[in-house]
Amino acid sequence: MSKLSRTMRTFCYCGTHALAVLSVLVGLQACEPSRPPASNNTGIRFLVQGDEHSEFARASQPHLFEFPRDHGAHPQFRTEWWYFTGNLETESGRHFGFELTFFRYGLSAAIPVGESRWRTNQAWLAHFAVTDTKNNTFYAYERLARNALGIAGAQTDQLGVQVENWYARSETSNEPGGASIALAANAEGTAIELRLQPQRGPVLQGDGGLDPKGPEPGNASYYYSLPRLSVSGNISLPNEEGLAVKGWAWLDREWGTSALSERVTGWDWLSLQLSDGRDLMFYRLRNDDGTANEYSGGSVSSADGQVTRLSREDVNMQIMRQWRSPISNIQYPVDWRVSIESLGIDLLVEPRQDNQELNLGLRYWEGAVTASSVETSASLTGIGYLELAGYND
Amino acid sequence: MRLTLLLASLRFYLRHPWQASLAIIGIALGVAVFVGVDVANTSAQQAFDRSADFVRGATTHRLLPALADLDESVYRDLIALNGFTGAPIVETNVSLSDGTGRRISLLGIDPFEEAGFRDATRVAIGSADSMLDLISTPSAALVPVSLLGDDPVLPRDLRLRTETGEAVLQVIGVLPSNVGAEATIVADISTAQELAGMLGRISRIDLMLNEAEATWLATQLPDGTVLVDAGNENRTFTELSNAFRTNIIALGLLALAVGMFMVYSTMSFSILQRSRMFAVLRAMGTHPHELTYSIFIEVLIFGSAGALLGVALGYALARLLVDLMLLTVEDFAFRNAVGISGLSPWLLVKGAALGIFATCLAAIEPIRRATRIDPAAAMSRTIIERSSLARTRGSSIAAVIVLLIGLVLLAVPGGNLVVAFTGLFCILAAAALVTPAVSFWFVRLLEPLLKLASPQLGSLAARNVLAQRSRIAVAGSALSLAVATVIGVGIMVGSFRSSLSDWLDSTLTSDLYLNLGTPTEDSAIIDRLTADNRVSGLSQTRFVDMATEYGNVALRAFVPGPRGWGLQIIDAETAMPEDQLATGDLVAISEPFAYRNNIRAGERVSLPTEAGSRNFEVAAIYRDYNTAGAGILMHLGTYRQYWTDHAIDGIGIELHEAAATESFTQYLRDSLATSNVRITSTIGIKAISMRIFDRTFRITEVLRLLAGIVAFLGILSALMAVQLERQHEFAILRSLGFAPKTLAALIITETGIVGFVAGLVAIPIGIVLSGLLIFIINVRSFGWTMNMIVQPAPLILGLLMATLAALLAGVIPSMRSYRSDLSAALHHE
Repeated sequence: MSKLSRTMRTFCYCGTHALAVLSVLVGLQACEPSRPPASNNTGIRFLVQGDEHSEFARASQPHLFEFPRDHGAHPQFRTEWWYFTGNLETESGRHFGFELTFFRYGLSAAIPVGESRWRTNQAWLAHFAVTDTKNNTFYAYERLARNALGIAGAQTDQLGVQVENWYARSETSNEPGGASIALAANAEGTAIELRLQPQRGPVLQGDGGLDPKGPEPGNASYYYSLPRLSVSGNISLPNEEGLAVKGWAWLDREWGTSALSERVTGWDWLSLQLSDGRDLMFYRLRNDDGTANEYSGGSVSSADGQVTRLSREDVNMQIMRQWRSPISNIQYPVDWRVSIESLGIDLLVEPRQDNQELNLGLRYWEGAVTASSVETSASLTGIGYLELAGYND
Repeated sequence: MRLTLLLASLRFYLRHPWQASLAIIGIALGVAVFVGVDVANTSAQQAFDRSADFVRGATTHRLLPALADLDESVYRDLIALNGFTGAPIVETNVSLSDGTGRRISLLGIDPFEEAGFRDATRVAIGSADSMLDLISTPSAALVPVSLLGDDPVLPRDLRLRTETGEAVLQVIGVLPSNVGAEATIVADISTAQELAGMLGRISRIDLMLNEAEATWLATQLPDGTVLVDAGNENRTFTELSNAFRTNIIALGLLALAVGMFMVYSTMSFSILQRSRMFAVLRAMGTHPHELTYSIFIEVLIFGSAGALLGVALGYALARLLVDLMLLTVEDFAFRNAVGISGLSPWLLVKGAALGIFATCLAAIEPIRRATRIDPAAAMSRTIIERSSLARTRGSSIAAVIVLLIGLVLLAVPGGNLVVAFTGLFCILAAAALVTPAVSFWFVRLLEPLLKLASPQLGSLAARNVLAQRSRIAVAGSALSLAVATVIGVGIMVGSFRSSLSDWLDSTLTSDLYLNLGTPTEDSAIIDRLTADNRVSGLSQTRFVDMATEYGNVALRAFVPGPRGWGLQIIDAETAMPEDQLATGDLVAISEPFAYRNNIRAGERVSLPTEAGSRNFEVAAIYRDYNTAGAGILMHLGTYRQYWTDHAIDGIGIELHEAAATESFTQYLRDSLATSNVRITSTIGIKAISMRIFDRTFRITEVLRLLAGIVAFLGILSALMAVQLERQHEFAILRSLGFAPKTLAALIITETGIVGFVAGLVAIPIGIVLSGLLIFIINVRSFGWTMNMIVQPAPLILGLLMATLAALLAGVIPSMRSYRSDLSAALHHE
């Protein structure tokens, strides 16, 4: 799904009153699971008053995607992100999961007038998490910064985003698939230093990259994925330095100026790299009554670049097991049965470990998963990432 | 039986209501002063802490410029890109354009980096609208509630005068009250940079580092920057205010001690008065335990009533004390922000417990005596007096022991203030123990003189006093002690004042001082002054606040005029350290700085020069009563050798004729009218300094006065009780032919003798006390030494105070002697 809405709704569920993206962004209001649910009409300012911010561009027209330009930032839109997730292994087969995401948020469409170099109209939030499966340990960190002075920012002509000393940037590469991506983050001894090589071209999600979020025109975002990035590099933990790893990553890119339906209380997002070469992405928007919203969607893409768009009706997602976080006391549905009959997919999705909840300014569960066929006779498997958001109440 | 005893007590106090009242008032006053001081201290401390916490927040370290400010790229390159948790800060002073011209601090923050640093800003920008607007509106600001006045409507404009001229801020939010932000405006760092004229520059970086990070960062510092431990940085301030508080608490405890004396004397006396009754009760078979129990109930009632009254009075007193304490704080907004902390149950319990405990403690001895009354001997006062003589010997031994303990405590190295105060209290206690013996010895000495003055009355009065000594001793001691405190503190303050005055005289060598406002490299003023034939010489000063490993240091780089450096040297390697300063790479350091860091002349101090940190040899330690504390002085040439800063910000002008100061000031004022140069004469600076001094010590004066009042009431109660009890004796004297007038004169003479002697004894105790305050307490509190100057005024004042108090105590009994019914008095018993 649109991670735009995803993130926004996460924001929405973190606070209680006049809910303020930025206050959440800067970690001003920690999520309190015990608080009453946010009232639907006290949504985030730009969510409910989106029209007031007409100065921001809207995703109302099909977009002619052009790379590497579209890997860069689109500051005319309010929100944008670069969402890297991946499964890594050392040579001896020790598994790690990682998430590194960069959110750009436009404070206003125009840069405020002033001589100071600290003047800005953009704010950045970044999340970095590492799953150490062997030790059942999970590390999560966040960074906030203004788009000024080189403290945080993005290039607009190619991939290049940075929040303090965390970054993702394009690097020239001789390998097929074009430029590679250098990824680095470091916090309190947890660090990654990775090189990502796209093995496939971008997959445009939604309708040729235009992904609707609601019935209104312009309430949509531009959305594409780089579903198969081969990874090599190093990972460090507070007491273990520089473990060489290899694996697969996924990049989700989205930008827009949209809002979620008031009925939507959260979502479950899944990306899987399947053993038969196909890549699956599906997001299930949850209505307040627990049903899937009609704007849920996704795709299955094959190695030859064929993309099959998925609607709510195509996919059946069934909860197989719940896990209660000892920290937040929130219950997350961590095991799923995902069935897409038309494509011959019937998979059991399980987390590498339950403990993958990010207790940051925003609280959500996002972690490495494996998929195996429900029918023991079938051999289809997969690896990927699952995000569970909006379970705060 | 117990009920009978209690009723007997009740009847006794109903017949002697002043006695009960005096006991209660004594303890109430003692508790009141203690509680008042405590509440005032807590309130002021809370305000100080809040204000310090607001600015400091969770900061562990600060990256500071050695001088002026930092390049903003240091934040990006060293902090952000290395992933440290740091908040860039632009801090400047602005003044309100509301007619008051009030100065207020403008704190420029990056709200994104503030998370976790400062609570108040977190609370204030906790709404998305404020947060968003603070960053994206060029002039947005959050202000303390006090700036809004009665009109809460937002947003609104706020006019300011800044470094760059007039500016209008748009107030979009309010800083919560009670967080210490009462004198701070918060704006986005970009807004603050523009207003402060600090484009490209920041004031400092607040950091949250663990030890490993701090160690690493310390090796990466660009030249001209310092990494300071945020805890250390505030150390000097904390030490100073702790010292101040300890001093005041000690005075409060002293008041309580005097209050205890009052209880002791009241209780002793009421028991003495009832000794016959107790004797009869014992003869009737009352067990001593029952007696103890009954008197203990009395004591508890007095203690509780006094303590509760004291707590209430203490609260009333606290406001006055807080105001007095804050006289030393220049910042008006801050002063207004200090509220009296609420009536905490803990304080109520503490005050009451202390009061009751003090009362019980003071009553132990009287109760013990009551239960030991020998029914047969109770009729005879002589026995009691004799036993009091034995006690005198006992107390002399106790005095020696307590004195020794006190001396040991005072000699304990390490400079702990509480230990020093305990030692001081021991010395005072020892003095109190020997006071009765010494006093009566004085009375005996006086007797021949009194006889000479009035053959009939003088000797009788003296002998009467000696005969009453068991009743008067304690009250006399209390009076002596209180008067000694008045004298001791008086001498200390006087010595300090005169040392300060001396210091100002020798330090302020020039006739006029120009404060250039903004540091300048322009030599136009210097050239003009040098050419002026009325000017005999000039001194030049560059004054910088330098962040060093010792905390913030006021560094004065100085070129003396012909009249020299004007230093009061306390310690130096050579006879002429000034020459070393002028020619070599040496520095002089202030006395408090040397004391606190334990640096002697000849040792080295490390300062952050632009070429990295460098050790400078200390040529001399000089006296410095500046409250800033840490001061370093060097020659301007030396300074310029290590810091590329060619500006000066002060000029001292020495004139050929001092008498021409005023006309020359006027001349300068006219010719420098357009610049923001401030001209102050030495006389003006001295006047202001002395005014600040007096303001600072006003609280000491008030507490001294309070201790005096408690002591006054103590002696009043004791002497009045003694005299009123002697109605029967007076009646006999009357019937023997004493005229009422003569009798009144006798009574007044007796009390006068007691007061005068108490005052006399107080003088040596007071002088010793002032010595302890000057040479031990003050040095440990502030790192200051001073010359002890014993002026006659405080001594005479003390003597007068004691005598007057005692004379007043004789007035009511002597008036009674006029109208007493002779036969009733004779049949009194």
